[in-house]
Amino acid sequence: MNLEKLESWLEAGGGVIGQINVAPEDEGYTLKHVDDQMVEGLSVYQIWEDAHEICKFNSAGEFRPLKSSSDLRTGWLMKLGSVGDVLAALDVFYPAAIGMWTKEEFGKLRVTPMMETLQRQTGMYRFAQTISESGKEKIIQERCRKSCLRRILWKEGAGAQPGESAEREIPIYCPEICNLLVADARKVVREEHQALHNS
Amino acid sequence: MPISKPNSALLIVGHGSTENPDSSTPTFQQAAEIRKRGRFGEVHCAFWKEEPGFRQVDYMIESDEVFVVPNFISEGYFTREVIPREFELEGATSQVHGKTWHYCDPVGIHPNMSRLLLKRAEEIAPDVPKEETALIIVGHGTKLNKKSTEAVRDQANLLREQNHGYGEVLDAYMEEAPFIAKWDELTTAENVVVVPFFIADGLHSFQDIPVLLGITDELPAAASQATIFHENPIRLRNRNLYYSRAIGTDSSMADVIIDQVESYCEDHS
Repeated sequence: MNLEKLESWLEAGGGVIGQINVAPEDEGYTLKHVDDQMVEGLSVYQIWEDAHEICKFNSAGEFRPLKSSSDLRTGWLMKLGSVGDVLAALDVFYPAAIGMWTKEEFGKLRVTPMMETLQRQTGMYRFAQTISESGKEKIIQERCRKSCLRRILWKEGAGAQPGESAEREIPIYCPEICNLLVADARKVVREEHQALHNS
Repeated sequence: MPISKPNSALLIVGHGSTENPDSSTPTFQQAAEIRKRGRFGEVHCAFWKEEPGFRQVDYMIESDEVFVVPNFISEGYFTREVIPREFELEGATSQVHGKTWHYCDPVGIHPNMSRLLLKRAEEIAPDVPKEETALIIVGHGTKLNKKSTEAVRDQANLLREQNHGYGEVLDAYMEEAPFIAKWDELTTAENVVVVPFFIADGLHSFQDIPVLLGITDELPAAASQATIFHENPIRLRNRNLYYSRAIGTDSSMADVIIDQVESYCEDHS
């Protein structure tokens, strides 16, 4: 299903996903950073696995464990021969984005509220569920709103709708908080406990 | 007859890291190698601390049947608690979100790991007379998880029983006895080959163990920048010491991942 959905989108001319522009060419497809549309002399990659190398570090050389962070580096051009290769590359750049987009259309995207994810944590993360409302806002602001391109669906109350996308843009959904945010929650809870102890 | 599952997906599950860029690399490399062999309809990876995450990867899988192989050294907290919980697995076979999930054993406990350890030892010290050589398999060792130690000990025992000619074969640990820091007291052979039983070249294999061995007292920034693996043999404490990368970085780990699926199918046929 993911392949067919992407194929239809590409046949209609492609568009943008995250910070990447995807376009059909005479023979195959091209992917490049949206800021590189008019840039010449880009480094050319022709194997989808090269996407790992492109998105591993940002332009400052910092490791990018969160692939949907808004610091994808520029300077590259991917030329791929098949829709399957485009799907594989996009699953490296923005893991599961195409699958979630497909499932959302069929009403099968599974959304898990933030507290449900925190409450099932064990081990070193088991205290993350005791996070305060202000702590939640703090980590969402710092991690999600500041630098992540995913569209939050898991937040209780406002902001839980998929929302509208720009024309020809594939939305990158976030139906459940990631492990980085779970780790952030643990850190904030520790700070909150420490502050309480000190007072 | 090699296994062939053209209508199934293989999912390799690793730990990953938010700090160490080398942590997920071996898992991605093994997935690429298995993909090339065309044994499965799809091959994917998922990580606890990186993306694709455990809760994301289901959306990337098109097949109705999934074989999950933990790229972990031993049974423990992750294989018994975190992975089943996050993937909603209940036992060896589960029906979850319209797919059939088969949960295989972690790679590290497969008997064929011993073959890989031997290959790695022979590669880093190809010309040593084996009868004058001690082979040490190094694990983390922790009182929190006995299984972690067991997996290393089992492989050392297996290598000893198989008798590949090494004068001594033993297991040693970073944080419990026998301690790897005492490698020269644990062995008597002139040559000592040390193979870390870890999945990735993380902090333990390129920082902590070299310090414990006495190879260095400085910590390099990242495994990819470390020269520690290219200096064999190192003359230290009146012995010739050979030090290997983590066993999980070996290209033949792909074979063991497939072996784990085969073992699962044999056990559940």
